[in-house]
Amino acid sequence: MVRYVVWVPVVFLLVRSWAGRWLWPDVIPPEWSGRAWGAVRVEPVVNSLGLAAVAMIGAVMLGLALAGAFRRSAWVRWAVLTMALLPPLAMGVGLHGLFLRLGLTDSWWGVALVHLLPTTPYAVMAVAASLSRFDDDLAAQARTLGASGWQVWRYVKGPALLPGIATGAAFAFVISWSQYVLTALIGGGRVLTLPMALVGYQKSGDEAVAAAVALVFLGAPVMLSVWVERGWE
Amino acid sequence: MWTGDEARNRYFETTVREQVRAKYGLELRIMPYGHTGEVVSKLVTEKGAGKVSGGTVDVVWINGENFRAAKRAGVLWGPIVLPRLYADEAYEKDFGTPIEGLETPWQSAQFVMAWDTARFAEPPRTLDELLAWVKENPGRFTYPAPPEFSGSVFTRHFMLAKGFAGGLADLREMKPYLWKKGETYPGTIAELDRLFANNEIDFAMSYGPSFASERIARGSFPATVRTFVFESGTIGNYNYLAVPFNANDREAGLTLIRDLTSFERVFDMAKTLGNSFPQKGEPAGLARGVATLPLEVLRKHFLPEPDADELVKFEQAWRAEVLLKP
Amino acid sequence: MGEILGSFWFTIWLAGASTGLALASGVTLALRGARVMWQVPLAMPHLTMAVVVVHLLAPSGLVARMVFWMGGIGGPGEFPDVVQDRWGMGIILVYALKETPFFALMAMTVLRRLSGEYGAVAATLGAGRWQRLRYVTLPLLAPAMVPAALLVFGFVFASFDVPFLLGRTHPAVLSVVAQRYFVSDREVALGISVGMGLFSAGLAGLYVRLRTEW
Repeated sequence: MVRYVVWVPVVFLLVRSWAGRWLWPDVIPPEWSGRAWGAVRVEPVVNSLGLAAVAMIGAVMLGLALAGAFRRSAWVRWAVLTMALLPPLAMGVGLHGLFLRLGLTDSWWGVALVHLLPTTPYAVMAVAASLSRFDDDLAAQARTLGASGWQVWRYVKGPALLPGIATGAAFAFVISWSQYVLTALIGGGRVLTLPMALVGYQKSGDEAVAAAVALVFLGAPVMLSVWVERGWE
Repeated sequence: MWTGDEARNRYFETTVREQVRAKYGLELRIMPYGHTGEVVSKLVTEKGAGKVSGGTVDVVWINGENFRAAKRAGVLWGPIVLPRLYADEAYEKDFGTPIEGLETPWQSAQFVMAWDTARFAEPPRTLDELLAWVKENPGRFTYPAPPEFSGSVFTRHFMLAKGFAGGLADLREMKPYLWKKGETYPGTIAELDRLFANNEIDFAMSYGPSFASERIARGSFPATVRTFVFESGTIGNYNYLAVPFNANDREAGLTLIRDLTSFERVFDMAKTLGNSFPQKGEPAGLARGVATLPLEVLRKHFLPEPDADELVKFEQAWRAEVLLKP
Repeated sequence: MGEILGSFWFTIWLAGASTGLALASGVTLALRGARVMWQVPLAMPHLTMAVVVVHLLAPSGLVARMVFWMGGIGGPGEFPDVVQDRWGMGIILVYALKETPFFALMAMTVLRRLSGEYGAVAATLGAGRWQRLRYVTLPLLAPAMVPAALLVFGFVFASFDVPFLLGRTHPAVLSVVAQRYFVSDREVALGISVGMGLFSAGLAGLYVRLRTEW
């Protein structure tokens, strides 16, 4: 039973987005319409994808840089975890003044930069996790067999880290993709992303378009997670 | 621009954008806001941080307490000297604040309420009758929480009729009989519309006299909905367009304002969205919506807005005395 | 000030109830060995889930209409308040639905790694199913699940999106209250943000202490 329950939200959203006027007390939509899908705009999709891609790359690079320190020092662990748990609202409110003075508010790159904050901690944790499973002996053995530092990385350590990098990248993408209030605060309404469009349509009462946007919003993370799962097996 | 109305958003995003691009070669970017106070707050912050040019907003739709706050903070550019559709002394004061050229008049608004004649034939016509109706029909009435515009002006009627304290007392008296026992209120006018259309509550309200006709035409309301005003009158006001002090492209902003306040644009908006023409009657050829009250009725029942500072105080008092007190 | 304190307790309540519910459901599902395509709820953004919950469970939503059609209620006003209610049940439901798969997957991973030895030994010593659960399985799950629960608790505590969409005017969660003040009185917003930051740092410290393997 549980396995089918999982699909209810998706089916429901599909129906809602294709329904025309659907008010109380109708249990089945009395009319159908493609209007909602026509109203979905490309701009928020492009913005969300772009920001998530940049966040993914940036967070992974920072993750690789910080993973070692994360494993060695409890203080670094504490700092990274605090970052992970810090409310995006607090980040936005706290940084707004600074970003304003630096001219980073209302700008795409300002938003991209600030997206690094909630995403990086998870990338660090993911890379650190795969580092911990990595057996340093293997690297030592490779070296006794005559491998150079670069070769050790390329053939031994790198591939062992790949799962961690992939997981970290996936986390970073999804976290950036889902950001709402942080983008709204720093982007100032100028940088329009999918979650902002979704909240906008839902709050202005247009449920059909909200359902369509919700489906599009759902699409990328689901595809990503299925792809990562496949990669696992 | 306040983007709480779907039809208006679509009109600006399609019609206005295309025409502005074709006629003047300008790209229209709409910055969505749930409440104009947010724009003013943003401008004040930018001024404080020394951002005196290259601002992100070129034209702002504004009036009332937000205009007063903006004027006081010195974040508007002026004087705007553009031809106006009509000359009217009443334009010169915005909720009691002299405008001094810092904004230019655009449209008018007047508060109306709506009910569904299919549910009951006659609505309560005075504030006291409404209060009695709500008590007899618990859970079937509510209003958006101030400082949302329409909810705020609804509460102001009680303030005008019964005074500051008397108005609050009436609203408190009403509270337990409201939808969800008055413990929570719809956050936007769109939510209120949805509650009304879905038969959760029995009254809708708006600053736009033609809002019911619009929604009937859109299919959001049943065709049996009609609007009414209180016998003692309903509050109305003008709203304006202004240019922020740090607008990036002031020329473009003024061009847009000139377009928006032109006869053709206002007429087109009235035809498409059913907006109220800025007083002085409407030109022939403009059909009045089926649920819209005739102009004379509206004008006879027109009440001016109270002073902007009073308004803000009342909103805060509502929050403290009505919302938060159990 | 009282408003902020009230909001703090409300936020704690939401975070605790969501986490507790998700943890209990997730572990139960894992113990039953449910085989489901978890990608869908796991990857579903919280806002999407929130939109679904509203459309389905609002007083004039689909479920209410079905009950009305079956004659269970007379009108939307009679449908119980699940969304936008004073205990935040709609918000709790969204987070519980979203985090249950997370806990279930984690518990399943841990259970798979454990060999059945401990359970078998306990059984030969005469332990019943309930005793095995209480004295063997759950304590073995705890080192992984407790820190994870802490993370989820912190996440819900810090969240803005879903309470913004589904919540009442009052009480509101801390993030929403801070956002309101951001527009009207920035100092207060900053104060709330700093307070939330300190709380997050506290939770983070606890997490670092509790997790034994890194």
